[in-house]
Amino acid sequence: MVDNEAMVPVPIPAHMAKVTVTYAGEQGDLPDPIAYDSNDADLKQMITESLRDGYIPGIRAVPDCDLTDFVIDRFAACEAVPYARISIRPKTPFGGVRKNYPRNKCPDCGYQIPKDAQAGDECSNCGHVWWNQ
Amino acid sequence: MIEVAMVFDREGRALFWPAPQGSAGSIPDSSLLWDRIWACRDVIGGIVHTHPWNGEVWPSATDLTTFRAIEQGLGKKLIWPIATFTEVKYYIWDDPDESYATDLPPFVSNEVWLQNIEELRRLSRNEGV
Repeated sequence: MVDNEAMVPVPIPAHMAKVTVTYAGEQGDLPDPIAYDSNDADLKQMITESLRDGYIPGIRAVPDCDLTDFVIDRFAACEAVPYARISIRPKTPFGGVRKNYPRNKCPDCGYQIPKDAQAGDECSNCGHVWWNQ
Repeated sequence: MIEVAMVFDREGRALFWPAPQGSAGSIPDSSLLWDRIWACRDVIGGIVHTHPWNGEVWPSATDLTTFRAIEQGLGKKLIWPIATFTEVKYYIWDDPDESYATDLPPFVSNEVWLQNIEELRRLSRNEGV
């Protein structure tokens, strides 16, 4: 793990963001700011490598870390916090798309929606796309 | 009827009741909920949520991936009860199988826990907060 006290705060330019990571019960910031408009996939890849290498102050190395079900939040600079922030955290939704439909059936064809169907999945019988409502 | 959830400690006592903002089919992702879970990470025992119907309990794929993500974030295993109006099942990560299995935690018969389950069902029927 990187020593927190050895780190010197880096000024954060306008188009960059401080990145806060929460994983395995620990929380820390990437040592260097990242472009605020980086896409989620690139951010996850960068953070995964940093976690595996123990490059994030405050978080021990996690060689088998998996951010598949983590989400990226972006917070623009504001009066209280004068620089942009990005955080990665576990997702928190519960439920599946099936429960949105009466008797768990596809509204177009009456096909029984599978238990593990997700919003955006297509009915294999008629092609209807199921959504959370 | 809506889905609702409650965060509880290791003895099944309520730590907080997230606002019941779910729909009939889901509770949405929320950074605020994660912030509150993180704030009580030292004492949290699990999160129970409802499936608003009579009958069988099963976790959705979304439920299972959320269980795992929150445990990865906290670095600890939790208990994940799901309650319908007629049944409760308790899911716990099983390391050898690398999947969630049902189990019975010690507090399942505690009066406080049973009252919490009934309150969740009442909220889930949308009978007022």
